[in-house]
Amino acid sequence: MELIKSPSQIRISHKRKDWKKVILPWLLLSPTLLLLLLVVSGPLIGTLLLSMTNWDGIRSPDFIGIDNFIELIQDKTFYAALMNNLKWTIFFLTIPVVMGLSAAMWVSRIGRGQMVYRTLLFLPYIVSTVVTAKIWLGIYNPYFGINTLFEKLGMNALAKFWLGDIKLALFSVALADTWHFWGFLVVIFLVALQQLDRSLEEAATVDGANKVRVFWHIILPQLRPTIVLVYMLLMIWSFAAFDYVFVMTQGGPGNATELIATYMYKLAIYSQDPGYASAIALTMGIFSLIVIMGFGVVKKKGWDV
Amino acid sequence: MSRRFDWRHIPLIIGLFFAIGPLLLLFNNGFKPRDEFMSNPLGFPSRLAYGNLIEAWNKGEYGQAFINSFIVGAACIIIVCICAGLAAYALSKLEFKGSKLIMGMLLFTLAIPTGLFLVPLFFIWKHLNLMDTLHGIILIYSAIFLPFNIFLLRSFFVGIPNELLDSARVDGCNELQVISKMIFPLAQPAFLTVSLLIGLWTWNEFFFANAFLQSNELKTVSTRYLVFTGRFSNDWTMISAAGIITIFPIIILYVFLQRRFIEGLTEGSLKG
Repeated sequence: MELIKSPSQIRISHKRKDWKKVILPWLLLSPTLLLLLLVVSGPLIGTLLLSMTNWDGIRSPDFIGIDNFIELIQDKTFYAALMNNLKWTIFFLTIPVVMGLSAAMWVSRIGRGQMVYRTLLFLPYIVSTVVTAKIWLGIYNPYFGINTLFEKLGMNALAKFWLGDIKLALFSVALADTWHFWGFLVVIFLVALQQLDRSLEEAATVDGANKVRVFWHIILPQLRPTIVLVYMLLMIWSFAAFDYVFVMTQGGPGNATELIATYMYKLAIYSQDPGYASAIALTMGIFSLIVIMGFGVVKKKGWDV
Repeated sequence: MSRRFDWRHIPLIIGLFFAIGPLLLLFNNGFKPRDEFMSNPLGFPSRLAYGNLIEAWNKGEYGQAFINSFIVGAACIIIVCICAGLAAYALSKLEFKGSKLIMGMLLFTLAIPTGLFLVPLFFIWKHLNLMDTLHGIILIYSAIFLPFNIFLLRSFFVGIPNELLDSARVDGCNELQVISKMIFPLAQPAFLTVSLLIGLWTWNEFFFANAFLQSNELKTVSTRYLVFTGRFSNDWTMISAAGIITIFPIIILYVFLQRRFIEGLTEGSLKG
């Protein structure tokens, strides 16, 4: 049974409720939502539509269905870029993670100087990519870079054509990018390590477990949520990787360092083929969507992988 | 415990050398007289050639680039602090239908590659005459910085006790006064972090700036550096000197506020 109220009473109480629970929140969110609609969501739908068109950027676009995607499958450059992105991802899921976790372990166990290491290892992460990519271009330069040092030390075997060699170029660029952001991983792992339950570790040591076993069976399981999160971030970043290749090699030599993002950027900005570029962008989006959804599943399962 | 040297310092110092070495190399090359560069590429300079920096500043027309970056940075800070502050308040202190959906959407925008909306944005901006304008790039930056900073502010707002806000309401504050008189002053440290991060990003960003700003006199510091290195592609003394100019302001800020930078950048990513 409802209590009988006069219509005006109902209206007033509704109004108050509406204001606090409905109108105000959306009012506060509206500037954000408008900006995101204009810059992100709207264009995102545009990418979906454009990917099914053949467009020169000037005349009205022709609808061509999935032709762009058929072209994509046969596109050798795209295939090379896709493979490079896979290599890039494998590289980033292993080397920087091992480096970051080891450094974080060591920093967390030393008494003094933790802040100094943390500050200096993180420093490259805040420095402009356009500059750091140029620094690494200098380091890899065969005439005045690191090779001159190797030759002086008699280690001629190490003096490679870092960016000129098709087999090495991608690795060299990935190393420069690793340099840029592994300090970020150090800090993330350091935060996680500082929240560990040290009593478990002490108990295991008392029971005679050695350091390796303590690490594998006590420390690593407790870091699982952080590691899963880092892996998700790294996968998303690896598939969207752009900066270092764009500044250092522009995808060359040949297609040796071409990535999906750099290929798309060239097609979109320089070659005036927006429809095809959109189709390529969409493949990146689908990949990150899969990663995010996979991450959601893992999170629901309580981080058990 | 004995006070002996911890072996862990050895790999860590190697790590430090890896992290800092390339930056030291930049400073070394930038301050080295030009004629010493080829004869002694990795060695220390015989004297400090400050003139390199002045030459690079003038040749690169860095004065205008600094002003552009300051304008873009300041405008983005104001827009993001207001928009993200209001949104974060709604998402942390008001219960309403759809808040989960909004959080999910923000997370999604944070995670998708920026390339995914680049192409249509490019044509929308042309159509709206926002191409090659500073306010055009300010709008783009503000939008892409919003999700991260909403999460950052939200996690801070959650920690502000509701009783405090309720007592303000009892004293006769309406919701907007609660935001302006309670939330904004209380959350000042969080807003400072947000401002710093936005300053950092606008200074370093070049993916959008390179595509959306074509006129030389509008370029921001990072894109100006790209143009500069294209023009002086063989003069590594100039490239290094311009590099020092480009990164110096950020390094100075980092020296004084490193804790805020580190915590803001890592916590924001974790919370998101």
